[in-house]
Amino acid sequence: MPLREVEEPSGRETRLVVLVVVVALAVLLLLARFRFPSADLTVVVPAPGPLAGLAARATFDEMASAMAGLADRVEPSIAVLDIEPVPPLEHAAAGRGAAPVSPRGAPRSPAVSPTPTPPPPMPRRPHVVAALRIRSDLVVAYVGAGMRVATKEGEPAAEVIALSADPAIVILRAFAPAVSIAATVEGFAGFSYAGVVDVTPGGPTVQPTFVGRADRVEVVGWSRSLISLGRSDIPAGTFVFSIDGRLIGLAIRSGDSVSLVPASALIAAVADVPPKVAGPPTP
Amino acid sequence: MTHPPRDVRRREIGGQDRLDRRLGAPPPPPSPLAWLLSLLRTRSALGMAPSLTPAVIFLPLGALLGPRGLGLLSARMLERLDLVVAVALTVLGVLVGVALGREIRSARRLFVAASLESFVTIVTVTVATIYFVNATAVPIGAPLVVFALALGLSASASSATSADPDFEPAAAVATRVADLDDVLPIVIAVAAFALLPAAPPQDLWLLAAAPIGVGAAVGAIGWLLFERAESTAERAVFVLGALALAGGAAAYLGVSPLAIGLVAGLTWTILPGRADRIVQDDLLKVQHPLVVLLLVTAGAMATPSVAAAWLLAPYLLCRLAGKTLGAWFSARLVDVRPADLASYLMPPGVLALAFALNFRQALGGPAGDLLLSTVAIGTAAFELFALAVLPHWRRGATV
Repeated sequence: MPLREVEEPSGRETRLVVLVVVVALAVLLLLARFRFPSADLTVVVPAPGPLAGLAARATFDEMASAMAGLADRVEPSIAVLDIEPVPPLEHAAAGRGAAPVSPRGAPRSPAVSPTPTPPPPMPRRPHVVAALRIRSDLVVAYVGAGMRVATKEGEPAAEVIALSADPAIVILRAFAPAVSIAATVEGFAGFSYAGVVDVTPGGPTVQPTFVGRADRVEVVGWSRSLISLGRSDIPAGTFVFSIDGRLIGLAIRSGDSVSLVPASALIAAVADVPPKVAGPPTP
Repeated sequence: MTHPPRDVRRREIGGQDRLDRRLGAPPPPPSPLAWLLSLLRTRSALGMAPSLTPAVIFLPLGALLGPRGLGLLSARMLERLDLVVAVALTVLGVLVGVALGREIRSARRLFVAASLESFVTIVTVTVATIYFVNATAVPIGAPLVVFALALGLSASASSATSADPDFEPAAAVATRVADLDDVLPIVIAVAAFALLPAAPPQDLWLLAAAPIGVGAAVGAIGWLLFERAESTAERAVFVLGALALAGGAAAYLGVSPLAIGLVAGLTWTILPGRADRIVQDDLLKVQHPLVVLLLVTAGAMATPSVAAAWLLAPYLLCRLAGKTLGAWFSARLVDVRPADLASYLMPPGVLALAFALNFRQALGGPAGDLLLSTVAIGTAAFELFALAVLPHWRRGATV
């Protein structure tokens, strides 16, 4: 058929185009009225480039890359918390008064290991510690003996709840940082690399460490066993994460060494804290 | 309007090779049962005959063999195949570049029509995706504009495999339009790569210039080597080596292998000599296995999800509307009925999956998987749609 003899697009063609476009738009507008059921994207390690598997890389480069990735993943859940020494008079009154929250479950039998000796006092000067969002309305931090959460001038004091199992661990009712931890490690057995998350005045930072032997110890006051690391180079008050961004636990002083409060123990400890009930609207 | 050599047409899938031309095209089935049985014919399943496209067979096969099926293609193996996919995308880009180099001199009007049709489809799907994602809050995990543009580029691909160009004049024109409408999306993809969040601002010039520079360099290398090969085997080594160099460079630099292949193919066609014919003859031998590899890999990598099902709405609806509208505008330039042109351009073919695989490598993570899954399901749906419904659009179609 000579191409010149093909007629201009006829009415049929135009009607077909209009029909298809109108129907497509109408259906699209109708479907756009429905909201997508909310679901969190799972934390996924970005796929490596096509040549990543072929290129030989130095081990330290991989560790640096892993730490940088870990920092990106945990930063939304970590806040910088200012703490200050408790004045002596207030420290004495606090010892007589408060009713802290108890973790779930009865204390362990006398067959458990004795309560660890009180940890040596933290530096008695204002400094910053890491606070981790453990629940949508709660953050947890290790402030150490003789320290308290600093109150910033002009800002209302945050609601602070101390754990009876270890008064050096505090829970704050706060709504920042914005993201709760996404996943935790169950049954940490040691002998793996981990990231120690601490804070500087500028923000969170991560240090790599190799965790060797990790023994379970029963401690009075905790419904779950703690993890004894038998070493003291992990600073107390830091949070230990696995390389893929899952929380292993909170480092606390335990005698001359450091123990980890496992993530499950922390979560169980805050489970008894009731959520904040919205009060009556202010006039 | 001069007609290009026959072996230029339908270079991506379903194209007839020398064996097909000797055997002749199969007669169309006379009844629905015979039509259904014809779907199982080996030559159709392998894309050697125009009655069925391989996407309908090999995408589900890839899903079955992949990590979420039988696990014969493990996740680790798919990671290793990423580099092979980059080389395969380069080959497709070379085929587009060779077709462009031949058509651009004799059929500029055809090229303009193809680009216009492609542009309308890209804009339609991109805008619809941006609106839909904003309205429904579908989590995509990537910058919205980049993701929507990637979906639009994937939607613009056409394969025109639903009819034999030797029997229907409109199909001959549509086949050439399908060959040329991939050029504009490949060019836009170069710009899209610069919008990716991983692209450092100071390297934008590198992302823009690399496909041209590397493609031209590979083209020059091939032009110098191919005709000087002393044997067929040596020539094949040179061709595959040049393609591997192009694909590897694209993967290393993080740029589009389709763009590098386009520039290389264009270079071989423009430069004097027979480099383009040599490349085309050698690539014909690996064309079908390459297509099968891409389809099976895409099927295995696709991750069905609720979000992918939600994004099917703008993809399917607006690709249909965009192709129809684009064909209505372009038909005036190529003297073909718009309905005929739209029906032939409706099947996406392997190029849609090629774009999706390319952007999956660039976006990474859940966003890349989401894009690939949406395009894979949409491709299979459109291929079935093209088989079952579109022949009724055409006036006077043979049965």
